[in-house]
Amino acid sequence: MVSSNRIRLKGGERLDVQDFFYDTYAGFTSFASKYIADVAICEDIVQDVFLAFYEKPRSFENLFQVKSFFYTSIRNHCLDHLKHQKVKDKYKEFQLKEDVEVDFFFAEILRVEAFNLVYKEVNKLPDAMKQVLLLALKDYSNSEIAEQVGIAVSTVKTHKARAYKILRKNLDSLMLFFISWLRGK
Amino acid sequence: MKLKDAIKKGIFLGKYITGKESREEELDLKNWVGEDPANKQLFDQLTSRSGIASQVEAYDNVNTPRAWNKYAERLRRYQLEKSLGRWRIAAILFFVIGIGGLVGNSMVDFIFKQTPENYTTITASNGQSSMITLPDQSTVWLNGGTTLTYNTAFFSQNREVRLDGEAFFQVTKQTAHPFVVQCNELNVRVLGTSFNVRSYAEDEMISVVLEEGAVELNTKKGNSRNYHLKPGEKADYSRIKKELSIHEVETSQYTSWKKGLLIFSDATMSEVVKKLERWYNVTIEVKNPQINNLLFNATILHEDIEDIMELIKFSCAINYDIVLSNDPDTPIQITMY
Repeated sequence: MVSSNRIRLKGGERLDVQDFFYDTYAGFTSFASKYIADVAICEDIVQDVFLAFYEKPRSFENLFQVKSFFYTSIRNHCLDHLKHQKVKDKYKEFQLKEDVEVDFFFAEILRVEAFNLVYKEVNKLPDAMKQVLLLALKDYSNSEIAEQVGIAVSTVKTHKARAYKILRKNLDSLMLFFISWLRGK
Repeated sequence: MKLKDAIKKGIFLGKYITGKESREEELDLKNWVGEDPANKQLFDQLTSRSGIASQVEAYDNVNTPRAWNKYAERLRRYQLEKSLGRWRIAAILFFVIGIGGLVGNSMVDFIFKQTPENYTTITASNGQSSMITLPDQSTVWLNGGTTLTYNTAFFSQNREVRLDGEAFFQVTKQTAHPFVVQCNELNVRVLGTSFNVRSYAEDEMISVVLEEGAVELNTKKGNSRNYHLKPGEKADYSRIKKELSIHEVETSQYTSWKKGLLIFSDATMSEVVKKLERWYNVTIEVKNPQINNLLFNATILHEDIEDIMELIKFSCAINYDIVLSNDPDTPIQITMY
């Protein structure tokens, strides 16, 4: 029996299951948590789907199909769970407005795919710098950040300058540009 | 919107937030935002400073390394249960046939039995390869359809094994006790080294490939002679001509099977057929004898037999039929024509 983390998809693409797990696990869990509040249950569901994936990696053409399989399976597991738990209100909400659930499903996929990338970039930062970035994004002042992280205000400033480099420059002002661009259209 | 589009848009958005998007991706995103107020709302929410911070914090709450360990452990148990299921069947069969003590290592697929005369026989059946450790801590990989026998009682003084089939040996060094692999007509004598021996009873050739160290070959029939093999060399002994020839080779081609890799380099179809039969436990019938002389080149890792047949069909311009079976005791039958 030869076991390996590397598999080949039908289309020829290679996939390292461990890398894939590390890149997507938090995202999939966060995806499931929008259906089920209990994160422990969410993690169990994601793990179940990884096991199901292990059973049939060769039936997928490419990475898109693999991801589609994960999102669809996780969502179905979650809906099953809600049905089972007779969390009537929540489930009814999804069932009655099926088209709303579908929109929700797509919006959540979009969110998770986007933040899988963002999170990977943020995690390249050293711990203190990441902490500074998160507090700064939450509009903490430099002196508040300095106190929380336990570093000098001057260090906060340099950390902030370096940490912001992993994000688009002036996210907010670009929003303004967007609006003017939309109006012009 | 399709699922695939949602994934793509998500990736574009992730690149956008980290300032890595291309012109086309940016334009695509802008069009999407302009299409529907709901899209705009989602976009605004996800690209806002507080939105980014709260998403990152949600991801931070998940402990991925711990989850991976848990998953790996679940997977290990799952594989163990699967192979234990197989072992249960094997154990029942042996009980019925009445063969004595059966020791099973559930992580590898081989049959391990001890006869009253203190001989231990290990068999890897067709379609399975396995790794074992001998009493002297030497490691042996057995390829499909291989039997290895050794005397348990005397092994510590006399490191001798009998081989029918193909095995890769990684021998621990014991200067006082050389390690000998006995094939029908050839002995391979070593101190500490790694090498591959291929000696299937039904094949004409016995082949020894040396990866590391040094081995000594001794022909038993005809005029008995000793040969020395250097790393990177392969010895072929013809049982019919009783002749031994040595040449340099790319050793990985002959030893890669132990990693689950099958390499064919200018191999004749008759060689390919034999290897595939052992590797996949299938029977292959060649209708047109000219096929046997066709040459085939491929490196194969964990492919289904059907994929390999497709590959042969295209690269050698032949046709084949395949008869699958749900009964594990009836091998898959393939006809090439």
